[in-house]
Amino acid sequence: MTAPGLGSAVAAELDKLRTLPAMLLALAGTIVAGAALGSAFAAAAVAGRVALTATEATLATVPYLQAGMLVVGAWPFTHEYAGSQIRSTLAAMPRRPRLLVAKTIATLVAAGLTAAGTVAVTWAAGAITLRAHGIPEGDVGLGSLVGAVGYLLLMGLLAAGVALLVHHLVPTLVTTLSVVMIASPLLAAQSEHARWLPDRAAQQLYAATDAVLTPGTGSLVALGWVMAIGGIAALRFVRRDA
Amino acid sequence: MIDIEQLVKRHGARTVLDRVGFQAAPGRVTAFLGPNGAGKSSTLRILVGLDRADGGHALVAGRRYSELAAPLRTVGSMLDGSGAHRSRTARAHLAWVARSNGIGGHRIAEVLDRVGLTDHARARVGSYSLGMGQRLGLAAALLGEPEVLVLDEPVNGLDPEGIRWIRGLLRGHADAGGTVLLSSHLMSEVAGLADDIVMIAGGRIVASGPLDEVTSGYADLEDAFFALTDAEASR
Repeated sequence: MTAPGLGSAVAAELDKLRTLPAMLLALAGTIVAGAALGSAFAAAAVAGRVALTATEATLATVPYLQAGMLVVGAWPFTHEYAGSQIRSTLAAMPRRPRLLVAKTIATLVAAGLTAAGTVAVTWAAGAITLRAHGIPEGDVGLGSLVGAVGYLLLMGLLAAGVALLVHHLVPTLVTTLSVVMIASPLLAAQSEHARWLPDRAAQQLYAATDAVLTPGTGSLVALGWVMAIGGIAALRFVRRDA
Repeated sequence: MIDIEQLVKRHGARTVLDRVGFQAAPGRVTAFLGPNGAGKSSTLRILVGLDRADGGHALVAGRRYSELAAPLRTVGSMLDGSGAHRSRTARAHLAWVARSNGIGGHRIAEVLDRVGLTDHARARVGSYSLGMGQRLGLAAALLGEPEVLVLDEPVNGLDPEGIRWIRGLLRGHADAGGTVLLSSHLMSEVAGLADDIVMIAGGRIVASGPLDEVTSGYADLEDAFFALTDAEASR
């Protein structure tokens, strides 16, 4: 037998996510919600005689679907602290920096799959709904769809960072949902500085409307938030008693 | 082989462990005894790398726990309960634990059988009784066929039959050359099982050595325990 390395740690972390019912539910729930919303937005456009492409319908659903991504991003870290599993994890993988890298990779895989799956299914549902009414789905605009996947992935990572800091699901969701669903729209109505909030900045990835930020700089700003929150949380995780 | 030397742990101004030192040798069952809050769990948590010591060291097979490349193949530990998420099945829990340390998948069925959970392997851990949770924790500890077993209050929640079973298991492990360190606050649990005794009270070791040495001059282990730990408490 050879000594287990990072590969074994990543495989173990992926195993944990695969066998956690709540994680699968969050993943599937986000994708199903995407299908329902994509179809609903397309149907509403048809009923209102508004011209809409399947891609536009998909992008319109993103602000709602991010809630699912927050749950998907939070679970890998918070479920460790529901009960005593964290002790098993640290006993099995005592090198904490390596454990964190493995956990982050597993979270990226899960959040990436959810984001890509959700955007693909949402677009397909929108296109099928439009076609059912004899309307073509229009230009695909792959760039903005990929941007939407990137945005959703960043929101998942943001929740993961907060989750590592606060350890529990409910406070993680309360914090992140308040920022993206309440604080962000309220601040945006008041001040142009709201563009620096993680969700506003990342939105440039699929809706480049800002005067200052581009998709590139916007995603960097959002990534900066993730790194700052995750960095503080990681330092604490590595140094503190479990 | 477990080697603990001059271990110090502070929580703020309070000294939880005051230069704690003892050894647990291969082929022997070492019982770590003390009242609740005496420092047993703190010592074991440092030993398996959960907490950091403020001084001294705790070594397993000559190395710090975090330096072990595949720790579960050297040390099996159980600290308070199953250590599994309640919505996972026992099998799924053991599967990720095995994977993390490069332990072959065939071991999962073997340890489930060993602890008597084969029929409940696909049930969610949340549906387990306290005793079944203890058995699952023990299964995880045995997974990597470790030389050393570290168990914090292992008989908690077990019924009389379970207690008898775990005593047999630990005795067998030591007789096969393994090292067993178990903590307990109940004398009756360890009398007749332990070869060596380490007593802790108020964060200090008050006695350690072979069972007959520690109990010599006292009626029994319980008598020795109260005499030695009360002496520390009244200091």
